[in-house]
Amino acid sequence: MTAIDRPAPQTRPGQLTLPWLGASSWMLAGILIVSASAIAAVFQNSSMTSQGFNLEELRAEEDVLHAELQLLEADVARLTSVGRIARRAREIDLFPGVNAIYVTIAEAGPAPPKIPAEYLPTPQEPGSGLAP
Amino acid sequence: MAHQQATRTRRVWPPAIALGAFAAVVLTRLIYVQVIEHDRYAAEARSALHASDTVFARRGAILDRNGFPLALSADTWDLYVSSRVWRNVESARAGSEAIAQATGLDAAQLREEVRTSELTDVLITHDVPYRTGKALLDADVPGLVGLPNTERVYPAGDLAVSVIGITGRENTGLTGIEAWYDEELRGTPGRVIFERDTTGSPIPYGETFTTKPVPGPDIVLTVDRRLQVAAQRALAEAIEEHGATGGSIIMMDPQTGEILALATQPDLAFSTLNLSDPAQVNLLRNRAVSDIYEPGSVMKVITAAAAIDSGLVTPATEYLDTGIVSVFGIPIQNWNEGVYGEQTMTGVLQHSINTGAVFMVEKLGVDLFQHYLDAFGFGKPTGVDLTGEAAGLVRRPHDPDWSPVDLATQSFGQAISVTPIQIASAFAAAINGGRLVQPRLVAALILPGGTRLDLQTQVTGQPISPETSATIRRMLGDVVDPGWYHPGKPHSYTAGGKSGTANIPTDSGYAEAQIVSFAGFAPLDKPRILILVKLDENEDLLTGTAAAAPIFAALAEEALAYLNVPPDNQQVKAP
Repeated sequence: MTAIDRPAPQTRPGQLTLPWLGASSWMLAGILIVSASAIAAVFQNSSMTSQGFNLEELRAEEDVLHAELQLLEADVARLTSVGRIARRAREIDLFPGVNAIYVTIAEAGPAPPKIPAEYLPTPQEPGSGLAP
Repeated sequence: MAHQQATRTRRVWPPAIALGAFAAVVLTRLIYVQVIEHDRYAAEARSALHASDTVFARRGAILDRNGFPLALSADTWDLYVSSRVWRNVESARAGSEAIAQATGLDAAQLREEVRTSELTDVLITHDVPYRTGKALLDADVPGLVGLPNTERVYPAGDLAVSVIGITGRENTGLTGIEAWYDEELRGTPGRVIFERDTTGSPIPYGETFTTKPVPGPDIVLTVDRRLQVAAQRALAEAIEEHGATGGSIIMMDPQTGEILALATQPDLAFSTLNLSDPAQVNLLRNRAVSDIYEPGSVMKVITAAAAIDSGLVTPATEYLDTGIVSVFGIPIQNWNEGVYGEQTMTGVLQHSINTGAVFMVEKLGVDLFQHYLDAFGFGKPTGVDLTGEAAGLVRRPHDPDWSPVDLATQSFGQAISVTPIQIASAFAAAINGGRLVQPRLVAALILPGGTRLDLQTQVTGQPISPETSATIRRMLGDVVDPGWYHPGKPHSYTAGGKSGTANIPTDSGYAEAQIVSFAGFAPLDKPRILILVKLDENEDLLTGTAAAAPIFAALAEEALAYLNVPPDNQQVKAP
């Protein structure tokens, strides 16, 4: 009978060993880190791709909404045109006033209608704002 | 053992030299291709791999002075069909029927058009309404490809067509403001560069570089849509009433040159636009800036302004009208062959006496009168922002067919031709303090970011002094309010003005047909509005005072009330 004269594996306290693989815990950690990095890169790539698609979809949606907005603006403009208002006024028996009598009063007039400032004409007194 | 010794031979050299030369040629060529001409070949390779498309920018809108859109761009689709896909009979049938149902095109004709085309992508229709095209594209119609485009829409209908102008197929401005400001309105086109396959089609998921288009700025006109409606309506009614062939109405702020309304007839209509009709092509010009006419007695205002400004006469200067004056043997009579006796210069304007205008111009002389014509801007374009502006015609002493009689007749508006915008501009200078301001139709540009750029009034000269201008205003006030009825007097406002009636010149003299006009302003002391009314060839042969002055009075009344100008001639105080 041959005595087995092989020294027992040296382990430090707390060190995990995988004898059937012959690998140490350092190697395991290294494999895990490399795997995690690879998986993270895949996930990141996948996420960026799907976000890219989402971005394209949102851009397309923005284009659609912008086009719809333009159509709505055109509709609003058409509905508020002078010709249409005049037609509608005639339909409900409204007619332009005749023989107006102007009355001077000491009160301030009504506030002007509120429209976006960008569309307001620059206030000018006659003769002002002239180039030198 | 004897060693076989290699013998020297020269047979190896020819192939060696040949191979060496070949290698040298290849090397030279490689250096040439990869180093010297690297950029060119790299560019060729890129162009073979990449294709690009222009993405047109949205054309800026045209707004009235209060921000109401008169012309704006709406998204549309240009629809293409892939002829390769439609080689499959079933795909062609399904695709053509779907397109036909949505667009109203004929399905069989569509299939035939695509079948006989040599192109890969065949354009079948353009400017399909956005929602219709989107529905078709979302429905995955076989072989259908849509490219975005825009088309002009006109929410106010056929309003201010001659001012706004029209655009062509490529969204390029052809006339009016669309043409004058085409470069600004069209914006900066974008570009898409993509990798393509051997057929030129984009490679799915290939590299794509996109430069976004920058939309054109919106243009804010000086035109007020309500005044424009009033001007167009008044002109149409007047043409109908007097049997005229056409006419123009210009409403202007005489202080700033801003045109508040500009109506011309005959004119194009957006709703019936068809440029394959030669009659419509003839209407592309804006007659208020491109057509010239003899202004008739409106010119007496300029003659009087020149004579007063140079100190040769005053409104009270008197002369004796005998009904006729002889200039170099040529008799010149009053318009109605009337004799007015002793008259002041104000009376000359009130009665529109030709001999009185000749009296003033003879005092001025040729050089001084020509100087004032130049100063008032006659004979050159005003610079209004519309295409096709005419300079007008002024007969000068150095012209070969000029005679001293021309000087006399120019004083009352013959032998001189002007555009309506020119006479409006000169008339404005006569009553606004003496400043010649450049008439304009654009008040501001609004950039895509919202920044507003206001355009400034341009004063191009000072033909007469402010004092002379004030005198002319009073004299013209006496024309409209002479102490007897005058059809040019507004009901609630003080006003001034002058009529003109001129026969149309022909090669052999003057035709029976006439052009009548009235240029007026209100209120008298601080003019807020100047209106020029001109009617062409009115069948009833009424004069400018009878036919055009009432239109001025009604429009001035309506416009000033709309502009919140308090009446200065008739008002009631609240108790």
